[in-house]
Amino acid sequence: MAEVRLKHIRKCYGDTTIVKDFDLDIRDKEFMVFVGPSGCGKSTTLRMIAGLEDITGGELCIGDRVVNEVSPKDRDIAMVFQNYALYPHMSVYENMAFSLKLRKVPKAEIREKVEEAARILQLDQLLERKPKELSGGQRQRVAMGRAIVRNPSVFLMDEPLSNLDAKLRVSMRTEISRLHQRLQTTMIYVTHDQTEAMTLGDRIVVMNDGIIQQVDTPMNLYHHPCNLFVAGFIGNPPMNFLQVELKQQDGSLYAVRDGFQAQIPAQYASQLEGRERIILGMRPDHVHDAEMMLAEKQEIVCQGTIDVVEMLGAESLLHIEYGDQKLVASMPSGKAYKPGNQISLVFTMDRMHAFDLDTARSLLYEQD
Amino acid sequence: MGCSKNKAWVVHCLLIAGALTMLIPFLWMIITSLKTLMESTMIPPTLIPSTCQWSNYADVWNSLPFAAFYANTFGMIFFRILGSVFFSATAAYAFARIEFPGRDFLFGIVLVTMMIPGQLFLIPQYDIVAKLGMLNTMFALVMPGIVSAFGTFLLRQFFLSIPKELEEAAILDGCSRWQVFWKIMLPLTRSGLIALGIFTALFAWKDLMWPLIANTSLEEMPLASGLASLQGQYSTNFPQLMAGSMIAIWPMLLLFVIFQKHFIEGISGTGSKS
Ligand SMILES: Nc1ncnc2c1ncn2[C@@H]1O[C@H](COP(=O)(O)OP(=O)(O)OP(=O)(O)O)[C@@H](O)[C@H]1O
Ligand SMILES: [Mg+2]
Repeated sequence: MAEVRLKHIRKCYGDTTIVKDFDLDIRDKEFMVFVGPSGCGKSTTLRMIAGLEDITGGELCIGDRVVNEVSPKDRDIAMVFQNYALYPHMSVYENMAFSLKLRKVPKAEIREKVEEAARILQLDQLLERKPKELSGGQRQRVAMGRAIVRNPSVFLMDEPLSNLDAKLRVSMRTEISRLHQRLQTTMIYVTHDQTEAMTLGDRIVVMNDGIIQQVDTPMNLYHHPCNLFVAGFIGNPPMNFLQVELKQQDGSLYAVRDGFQAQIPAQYASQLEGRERIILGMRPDHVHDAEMMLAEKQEIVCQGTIDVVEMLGAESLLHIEYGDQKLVASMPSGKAYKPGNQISLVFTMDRMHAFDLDTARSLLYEQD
Repeated sequence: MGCSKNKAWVVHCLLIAGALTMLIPFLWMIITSLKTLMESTMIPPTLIPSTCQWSNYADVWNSLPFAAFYANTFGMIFFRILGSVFFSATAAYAFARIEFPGRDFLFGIVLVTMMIPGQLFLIPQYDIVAKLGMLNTMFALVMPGIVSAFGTFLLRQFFLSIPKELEEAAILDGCSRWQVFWKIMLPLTRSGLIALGIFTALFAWKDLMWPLIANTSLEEMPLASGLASLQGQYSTNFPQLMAGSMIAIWPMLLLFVIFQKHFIEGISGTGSKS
């Protein structure tokens, strides 16, 4: 029930600037995810929205209020912490009821709200327990419950799943998604796990070094990364990068380096016109084994030696050495690959990415 | 197997011997309290009193205002606990969690006061209380024990061990600074508060020098200095003194039995935190 607008937000500790010119509009009811490597300023930004950290510069609006100077409790937000921060001396019920009690909500209404939240989160049977008598997943749900009962207009979550084991994380992820659909509340979610970001987010903010790299839907981030950082950060295994020269030959444009040659599709040629060197990006999914290709039209781009084979079940990851370059290819399992074997590679050039050597910006996709 | 059994034996014997050694002065106090004055000064001393002189107890009880002593002692303990727990906790919280200029310097000063012998403070303290016209009052007994550098230090450690997110969660839930302190921090440092209370009680109980100086009228004395008044300048009636001590000691024994667990917890310095 509220949009959150960050206008040129800045955060400095002494002389070091941690968050730089953070400019972002979060829409009402949107699930926005902040993702980026450790130390890039995700938590700091979230904590500024929460009011736990002073804003050095810029303007923060929640709804249509400027809240820079508004105290955290009056911002109409709730936050879920990474370590849950449950009050150890209170029962689950008291933990969830605490904020309502402070707001002097009538007892009967508190009971009603807590019980409803407990039902949604399947905590009905645990209301009398103390946090230390709960499992990690249950604690996590109590932390969510504590946020839900307040019916805030913005939910903030700082890596709420990172203390859970892998399996529980997946199921809680679904639960959070369901919760968002049910509550229809603006959510801002911090994670360094890109799978979480991709599965949960309506839109994702990719950050690095306190700077927004790209804000986009998961699909756009994956298919149209606007710079080298986003291209390398989103997608697992990461994108392959090759520094190549561009050569005009028989009316077509080719990406060339020793032992490597690939024709650039006509739809991209015009955007790359006049450049001599670029960084070519190719996702492992779009690197193929020439022997497995049926269509004749495919041209082999290079030959390599298989270094390592990782079996993942439905697919195998091949780490391939060619010259002094390393490439990763994702192959459907079926054919047995052996380390040391030679392999001829085909690229799906329609799915290529190209980046400027100096600015690292994408030459094909602009951030809108 | 036999070896480890032997070892346990030796350890137990040593512990028993140690415990007995610790008990000897206490036993000697009981024995002396039942002797006549003559017998108590005999050389060589007798181990068992020839006749049990129970009248020592009645005599000392009648010669001193024990009811007032008890009242003063408990009053002193009560107010000192209240004061030192309250002031130490608030100061410790500020030192642990509130950022203000000069904080670390001020905390350094607090620590330094722990390293100065308490006797040095006697004269200025006396001066202050005298100028306030408060000698021979409960206030005089309580005043110097109302703050505690040690308590501030101890509780600060407890507060530091509480995760910061807990406080932040409380602030987001709508707590004011005071509510964070009162509803979150204090309940979570319960064992620290109890330990400090016990230390304060112990210290107040056996504080002799200050009450002796500040409160000279018998009716305003706590047990410790009241008993000391039995020690004459020229001669001391040891059996009566010991009988008085026996009367004085039981409330503390009772407290120890009740709070035994907390005593040990407090002294071993590790409050159980969840
Ligand atoms: N109080 C502080 N004083 C100085 N620097 C700080 C302070 N708090 C955080 N930083 C710095 O700010 C940067 C961003 O920290 P932040 O916690 O926002 O990172 P993050 O993106 O959440 O990382 P992670 O994924 O590890 O949680 C870090 O380099 C950190 O060292
Ligand atoms: Mg963080």
